[in-house]
Amino acid sequence: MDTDGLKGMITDIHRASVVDGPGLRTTVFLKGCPLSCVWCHNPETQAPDIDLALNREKCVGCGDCVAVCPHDALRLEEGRITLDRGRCATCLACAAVCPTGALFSYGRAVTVDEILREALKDRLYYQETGGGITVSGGEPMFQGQFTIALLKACKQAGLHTCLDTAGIGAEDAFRDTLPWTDLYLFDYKSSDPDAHQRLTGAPLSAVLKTFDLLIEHNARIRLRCPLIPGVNDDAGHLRRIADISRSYPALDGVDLLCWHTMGRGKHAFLGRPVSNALPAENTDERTKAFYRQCMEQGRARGVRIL
Amino acid sequence: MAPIIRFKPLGLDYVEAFTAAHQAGKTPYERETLCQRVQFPAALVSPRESDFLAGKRTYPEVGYSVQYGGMGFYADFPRWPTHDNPMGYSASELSRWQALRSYWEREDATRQCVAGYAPAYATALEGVFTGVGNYDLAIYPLYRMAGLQLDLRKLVSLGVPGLEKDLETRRRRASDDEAKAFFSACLESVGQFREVIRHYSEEAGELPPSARRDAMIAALDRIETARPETFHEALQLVFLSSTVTGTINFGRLDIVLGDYLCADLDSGRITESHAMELMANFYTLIEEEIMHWDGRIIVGGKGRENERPADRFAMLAMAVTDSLNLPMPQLSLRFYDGQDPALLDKAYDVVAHGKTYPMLYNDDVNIPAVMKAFGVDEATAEQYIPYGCGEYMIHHQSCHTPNGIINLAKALEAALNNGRSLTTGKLMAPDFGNLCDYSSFEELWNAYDKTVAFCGRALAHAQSATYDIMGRTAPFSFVSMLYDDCLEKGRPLFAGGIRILGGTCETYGNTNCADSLTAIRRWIYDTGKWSRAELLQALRDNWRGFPLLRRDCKEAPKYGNDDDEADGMLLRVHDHVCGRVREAAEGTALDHFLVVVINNKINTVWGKMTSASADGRTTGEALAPGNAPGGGCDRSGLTAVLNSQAKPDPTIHAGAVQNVKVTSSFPVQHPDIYRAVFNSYFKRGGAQIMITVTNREDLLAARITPEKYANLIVRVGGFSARFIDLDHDTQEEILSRTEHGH
Repeated sequence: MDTDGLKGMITDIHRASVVDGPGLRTTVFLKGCPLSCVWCHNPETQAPDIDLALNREKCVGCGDCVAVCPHDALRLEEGRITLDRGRCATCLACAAVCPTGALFSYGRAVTVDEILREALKDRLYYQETGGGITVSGGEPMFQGQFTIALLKACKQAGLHTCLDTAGIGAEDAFRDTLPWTDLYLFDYKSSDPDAHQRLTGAPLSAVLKTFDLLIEHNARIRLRCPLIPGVNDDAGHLRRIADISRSYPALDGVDLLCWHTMGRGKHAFLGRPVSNALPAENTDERTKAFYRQCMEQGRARGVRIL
Repeated sequence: MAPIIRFKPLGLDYVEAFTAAHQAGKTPYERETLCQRVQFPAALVSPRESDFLAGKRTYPEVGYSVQYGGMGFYADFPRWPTHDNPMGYSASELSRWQALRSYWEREDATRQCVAGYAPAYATALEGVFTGVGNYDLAIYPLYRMAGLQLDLRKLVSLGVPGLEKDLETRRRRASDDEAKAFFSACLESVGQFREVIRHYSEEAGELPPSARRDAMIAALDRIETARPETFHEALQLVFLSSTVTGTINFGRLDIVLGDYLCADLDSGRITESHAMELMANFYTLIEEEIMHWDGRIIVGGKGRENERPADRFAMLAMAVTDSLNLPMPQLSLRFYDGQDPALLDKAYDVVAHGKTYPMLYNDDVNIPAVMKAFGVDEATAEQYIPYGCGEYMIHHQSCHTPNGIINLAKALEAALNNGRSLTTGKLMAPDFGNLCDYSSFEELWNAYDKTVAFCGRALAHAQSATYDIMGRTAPFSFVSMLYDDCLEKGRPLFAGGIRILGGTCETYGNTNCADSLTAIRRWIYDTGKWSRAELLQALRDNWRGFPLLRRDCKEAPKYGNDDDEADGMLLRVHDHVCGRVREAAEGTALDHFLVVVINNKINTVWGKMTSASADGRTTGEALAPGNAPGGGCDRSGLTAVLNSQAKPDPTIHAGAVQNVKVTSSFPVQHPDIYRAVFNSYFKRGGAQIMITVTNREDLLAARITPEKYANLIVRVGGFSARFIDLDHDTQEEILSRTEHGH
């Protein structure tokens, strides 16, 4: 595949991650996601293109942005800026003149080489810790071509590769990731088809179809299960997670991703509402102990609580 | 907590007696002998019921010292009464003080140094040599003989009688009078040492009877008349050598005490827990007696004959650090590929518990680096030890006291602004032009280069002159006889005795200087987005009216992110200052003059007096500590900051400190990755690291309810401290540092 000139849209290259697969990893967050999980903690990765964001707390009310906006999308109200997203064309003229960085953007286009160059800086750490690169998002398969090219380049450079996916994407594309992916971090968000559709906006059947495809090809998979107290952490779902971990010997294990509120600020920056159903606090230790107990009772294998 | 009595005034009678002794002495040796007889036992502080070890002391308002209180024969005038602040003295007493003051204004060694510096520099740098502590200039000399560390192995193996016998033999055989006089002074100092031991023994006798007291007396009585035989006795002798000399770093104690410890443990003479108790008392005394930027104990590393016993002492020392919550002593572990891995493993554990110790030194990098930087062979380099805030010296072979400090952010400020402060206009360096005069980045660099070179020469001359004054006035006989070569040559340390006469210069603001140059090159010279006049005006006005320019400067690449552009500039600044400082030794008495990239609180204090810088920093903000990135500028993760910090060449300076702050959950949740990350850093050339394990929530909570966080210890730079004891500005600086491992 010719990757020259191929660019992907990313939000960040995060080095020294300890929560995105084994060892110490460099995680690339790609933009674009067909899901819309109510608990999404990376809302800036949902839209495929660049997002304009506004951190009102940083706004000093200078009004320079109002003057340069060609679309009349900004207003100065009570000493701070408000953004009318209906008018905004994301031209970013405002961000260019904002002195405090209150107006800023998520997303930049990069080549496979640029990412690889950054990832290779930590090669020695990967060797010492059993780490590597993790392609995440968003849903990386939303930019399937780019994701495959990136995985391939990393694999060929001798790096351990993880694909962090929700399992939604073209079957052929997933097939093409197989030679270049050492480990799939495979999201499993709800065991109930209706709830899955309601909470993520995507059908569970499509997720399971991809899961089966990967299993069929003996891919190594680590189940990643975001657990949101009162939303999707019911006993039935926890039991099912434990069941799956036992039923597939090829499964590498299970990461239970506990709810935290760190993504909240980003929702506000993007002007997106946060569901009232979400807990106001991080998952407490008692709940984590309950998860642990469910996993032990279900004789789940390779469980990490993150 | 025990009252701090490190610097207690002893009063008028004492000062008159000390002064009379100084006047009565006809030679430096005589003055030393006579003055020490007045200083001791007056300055000794009694042991307490809770102590196993004696050796507490104070540094009075006049005295004889290497560093604390003052340098050489010193008068610490700020602690003297004046007419404005009579401290309870009557008018007639004040006039006696005045007479003493007139005498010590001539005789205080620091004042003699100030007067002795090359006049050329004194004129061009008005205030530099007398204005120490003001921090509104780019360089200052420091007046001290810091970091001297004794051959304590020789001390414990010979003991007091052995030392005397050796000195008597040497005196008998000496052919020249100078050597005879030196040996006599050494014998006098040993005699006084014996008196000090006896004094403490008598004082211990006044304590209520207890097994602890009896053990103290027995140990003191033993070492007064014989070489030490037990761990307790050896430890007591070691501590007393610090008491009488004022040397406040202990060097490689594992090679000194390892054999004693093992003999006692293996014979069942003491238990492990009693050894811990003794060491805990030793640590507590160090914490009470010694300022937080000294008090180093070094364990581990190459060049230890008795490696196995030494390793056992190292494990004990780390266990004691782990068991206490003290910001002292500054325990440091040297390690190399092939050393018992249990030591480094234990070190990682203790660090993970938030003790900030031991600090880690990678011999596989440091020994070759010291060979090159100091120009010594491998066996000599194996005896390198870090002391104080992180400067290297060769154990009982060299003096590398850092007697100059330079603020590179201020040097750049001077180069940008006709040698003057951007804020106050004060002259800080010769006028080589201002930013508007420089049509290319290299022209700016050229002005910066000349500024740094000028500063380096001034400091090298100052250091050389200080050694000269010390050589003529202060024999430091007890220290000299426990230093290599002095007895063989028959000369004290600074009158030709010492093997390596090094000098060091502490650099500050390296990172701010480099990041500023990166921003200037990018926005002024490469892209032309901003004009020279705009930037100069913005800096003069502390960015007022230039918010976008400031944003661009802040967003320019920053050191600490493994970014080639920013790190490349830091390397250029690093190589440059190391080179210019080294060259500055030419024409001085120094064997060499080397940079140390260390830190203490000066990055905060000097930052307060440093104008806005082109890295986006505002006037008065703290400078980055040591070789670390600016606060919050390292945004690319732990590996990136470690990669950046491993880049500066370690072979061209005499020590650099690498601070990193890690969140407390990281070593707990990912113990293997935690170890592997730092192991990888060392593999890729990391020379040193000091790790604070804490979390931001605790630091913030400690400011609200300090009483609940007395145990929270953080690494400031070249020293550790209870977070709650730090001043507000330093707490802010610590909080501004990026916390890694999330």
